Amino acid sequence: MSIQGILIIVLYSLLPWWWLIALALLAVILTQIFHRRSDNRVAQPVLWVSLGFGGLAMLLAPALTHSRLSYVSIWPDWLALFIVGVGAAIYTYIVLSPVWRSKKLP
Amino acid sequence: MKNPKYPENLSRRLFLQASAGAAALAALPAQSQAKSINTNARVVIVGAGAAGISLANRLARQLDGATITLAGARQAHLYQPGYTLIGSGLWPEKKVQSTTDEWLLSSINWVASDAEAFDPERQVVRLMNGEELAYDILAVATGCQLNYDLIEGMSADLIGKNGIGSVYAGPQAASATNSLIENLVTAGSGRALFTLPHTALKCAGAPIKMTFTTLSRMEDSGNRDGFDVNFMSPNENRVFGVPFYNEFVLNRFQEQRVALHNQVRLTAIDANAQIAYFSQADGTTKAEKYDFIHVVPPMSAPDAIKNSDLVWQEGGMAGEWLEVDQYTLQHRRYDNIFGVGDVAGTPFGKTAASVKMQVPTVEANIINFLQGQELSAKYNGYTSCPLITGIGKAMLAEFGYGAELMPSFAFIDPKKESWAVWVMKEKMLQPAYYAMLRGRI
Repeated sequence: MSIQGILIIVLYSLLPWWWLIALALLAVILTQIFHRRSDNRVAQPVLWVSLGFGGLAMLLAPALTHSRLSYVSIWPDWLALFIVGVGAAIYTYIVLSPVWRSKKLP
Repeated sequence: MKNPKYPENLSRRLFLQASAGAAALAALPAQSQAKSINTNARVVIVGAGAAGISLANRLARQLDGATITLAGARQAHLYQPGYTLIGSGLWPEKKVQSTTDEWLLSSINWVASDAEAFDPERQVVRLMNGEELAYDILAVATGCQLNYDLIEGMSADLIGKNGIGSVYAGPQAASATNSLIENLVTAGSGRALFTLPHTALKCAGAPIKMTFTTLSRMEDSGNRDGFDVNFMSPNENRVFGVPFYNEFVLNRFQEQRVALHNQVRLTAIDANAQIAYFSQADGTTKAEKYDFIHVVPPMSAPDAIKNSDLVWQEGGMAGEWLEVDQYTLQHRRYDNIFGVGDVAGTPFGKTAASVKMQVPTVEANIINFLQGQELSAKYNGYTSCPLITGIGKAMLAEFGYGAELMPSFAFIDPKKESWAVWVMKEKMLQPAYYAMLRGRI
């Protein structure tokens, strides 16, 4: 299958979830707008929360697809699970770190 | 009718137009190995299912000036690969339902009537509404006929009653089948029969998938020991056409205590007594009591094909399926007729994934034919069946003529069960199917 074909399938797969994607982007934009500060320190506590959330996402992802963790067996399964976890962690950090910094700074 | 998978406040067409991403990709040419041509040909496509709609859309883009008529009575469009998921209690009925008209380009003439008779000598198709359609090119995409009536005492009306299930008959039938399985599992004990017909069938993996998903539900209930599960095959130690997957399934049946009955064919059902009758290799008939039976009916081309000169005249498919060259999908005796989808009498190829490969082949060959050129596109028998081996796991079985494995993704082992393949089946195949309907892939 061509790259174009794969992209088309991915787009069609995401289309029913446009509202969720829009909400997720909105959350990022709002936290960036209302809680943005010039401080670019790593938000340490948020980092740990994000990693925890990413781990939780990895544990729950199979169940959310009517499956179970024990069916994650071949390496593409583990890679997919890892991507889910990393993606969830990154998103959590992007959304929460501006909020944390704005509460920390005077 | 609004597509239930899309926001209620927007029609599906409006939504696609509003989506920037969709607009960007919509600007890309639909994937086609054929170049567009100018022609005033009259193209008639009989059958408004997946194959017919996809072919119509692709030809409408490629044939400038052609008159493209799609004949098919069905107002509702049904995503058939979802039936096993409905029957397994994972999807609601509505998830597979849309309407035929929402998938068609506006330039296509849709006549909501099925074909009644074919006259290839006069190049005319007579529809059930009495209309006659003359053609220069005919594409037969009628799908296949479910012959429940060949099982004495059986009809589609019985599905959902007296322990009789069958996911093939439609989303309501699949839902009714799920209810019966639910009741069986709740009861904690019972005898279940899963049948296989002696004919070719669409989605040959579905009878096996229903067996495995039912086993999952029994095992999850904690009462597996209370159930007697049986698989009734008309063949000898063969439940699937590809040797690797056949052996895998037979071994898994042994591990999960599914009793395999060889060389038995379902010939009759006594619904009131819940007894199924099977003819055996020695000519005798055996009665099998059941609490639940999943009936897979014998299948064939629709009667309009079988009663016409288009059907195979000799060989194993004689009188049953459309006679086409297995590579070019051109009719073997009428060169301006092509076959696509479940109706085609080819050794393999009765799945939605097969349609995805067959349609571009027929599209290209119709264009070649109109230009007086050799038919260059070839179909290799590609068939794909995400073989569900339990709720939550599947194997990506992809194969073609000669039962040769044809994996699409080098990084997915086709011989291993996988969560990712399950996710593909449950989440991504339907979107891919809809992209295929639009002629985008």
